[in-house]
Amino acid sequence: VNLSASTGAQITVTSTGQHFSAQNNDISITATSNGMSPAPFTLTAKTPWKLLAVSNPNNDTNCNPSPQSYFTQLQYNLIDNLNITMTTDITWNEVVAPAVCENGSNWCHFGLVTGPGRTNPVIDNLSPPTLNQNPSPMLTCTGSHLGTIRYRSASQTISVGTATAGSGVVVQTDYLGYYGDHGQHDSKQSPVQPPQ
Amino acid sequence: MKRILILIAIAGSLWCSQARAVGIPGFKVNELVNSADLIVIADVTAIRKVGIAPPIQFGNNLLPASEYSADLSVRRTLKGQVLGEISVSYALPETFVGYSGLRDGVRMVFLRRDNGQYHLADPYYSNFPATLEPPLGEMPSEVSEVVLSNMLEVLASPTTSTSEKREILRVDYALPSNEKTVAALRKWLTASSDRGLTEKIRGELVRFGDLSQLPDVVNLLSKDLATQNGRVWFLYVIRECVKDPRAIPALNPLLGSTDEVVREAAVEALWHINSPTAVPLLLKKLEDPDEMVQFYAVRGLADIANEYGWGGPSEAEFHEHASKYLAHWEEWAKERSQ
Repeated sequence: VNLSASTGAQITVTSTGQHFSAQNNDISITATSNGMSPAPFTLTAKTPWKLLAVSNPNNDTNCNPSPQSYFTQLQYNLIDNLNITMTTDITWNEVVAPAVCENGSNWCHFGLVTGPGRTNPVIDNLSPPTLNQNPSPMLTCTGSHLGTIRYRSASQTISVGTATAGSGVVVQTDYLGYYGDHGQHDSKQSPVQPPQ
Repeated sequence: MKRILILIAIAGSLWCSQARAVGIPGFKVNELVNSADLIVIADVTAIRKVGIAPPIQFGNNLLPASEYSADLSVRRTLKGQVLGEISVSYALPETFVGYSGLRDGVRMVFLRRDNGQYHLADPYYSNFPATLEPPLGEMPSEVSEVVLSNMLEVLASPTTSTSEKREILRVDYALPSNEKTVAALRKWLTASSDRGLTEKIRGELVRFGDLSQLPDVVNLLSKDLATQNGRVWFLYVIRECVKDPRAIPALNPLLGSTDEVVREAAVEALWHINSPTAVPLLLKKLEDPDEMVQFYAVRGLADIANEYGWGGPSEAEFHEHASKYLAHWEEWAKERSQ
């Protein structure tokens, strides 16, 4: 924090605390001059905490021309340590473990590539193997997300604050679920508490 | 040399087969308008793959790509030079990574001119559905507002398809919260007979501040008449998007719900409304058996009273010291009533 002395000289106030706020305005700076102290100047130290899904119906599934198939767009708001939606645009990244084939599919034999995005909102796009590689079972895209059999999954950890995979603040863990006609985030877990 | 080409082909084909889970940036109308030299509403026809394009760099990967071209018959120019026919070329990765090419039909297209040729101005958001019907009202002067107006016209139009309207709703977070948006969504709602879609539009209307929809939404939630998706959507818009003090009477029935998730959403809305009118309801909810309902009630009272030392608290802080906060705000209420 930069303040100015009565002479106009710059004064730098350095924080010694190592915690994020537990209350609004719980950090205060009091400038004392000649024994007089006016009302403190207060601050709140915020940090990303968790993702809030922008509902199921907004999880939009659409069809691309062959050989591509469906893509499902999953939207989230980023919530801070005081339960407020963060409106600042922040980069996010993901770490995805090796995929697992499920229910007799061969989909996990096709690699899984990921990439970072920006928050406000967080948008994650899921798309399955392409049709010309003969995934088994074959995909269908109807634009709906009615399929209940999962053919491939991989654990995903979403962090924010940097595009570097695995760095930043973890805000959600889940399983990328690839179904016959759509993708979704399964078994979502948010951190129980924000960074302290 | 032949071996190298075979290896490249194998690597390319493996890449083509990969599934994706990629983040994409949100749609920002001003950024898109600024990056485009030419914005037109046009009939897009003859989209064709014309060959192999140089690989596209995506993160740390070089993606095999194809070159496409399309013909545009311009019907309206929103920004840039007025032209009749345009040929557009663009490259797309073989696999979907969030980039989108042109689609057939009447589209609003954002183009940039490089080396004497028009290309898509943005890999993610290069075109949206459009309508050739006359504008709903007076056309704004700012290009970004004209773009948004055209998007709203797609929602309101009786001639655009549900999938075209849904394409606009995919970027609903970028639409303005104003009467024009509400008017467009109401027109769509009038024409909708599908239950799931009607719930979606009703929720969007609440999200954009149309309080006239709130009693119906509250009724569907109170009587458990919404579909499963509709219920999740309604709870989301109530807890995140209702900010108008005039909504308080309509929310009242939800505060007495036997379902704590419904009560939580309603009290969270009261917190976001941040109005002294909500104080009696918030005080009552300090006695709710659900801790999250109590938490949101405390947050609501803290924001309204704005007392130094009692702002917030965070969920963890409240969980640890709940009795302290509840006692404080009950005392505050007593003092206030004297």
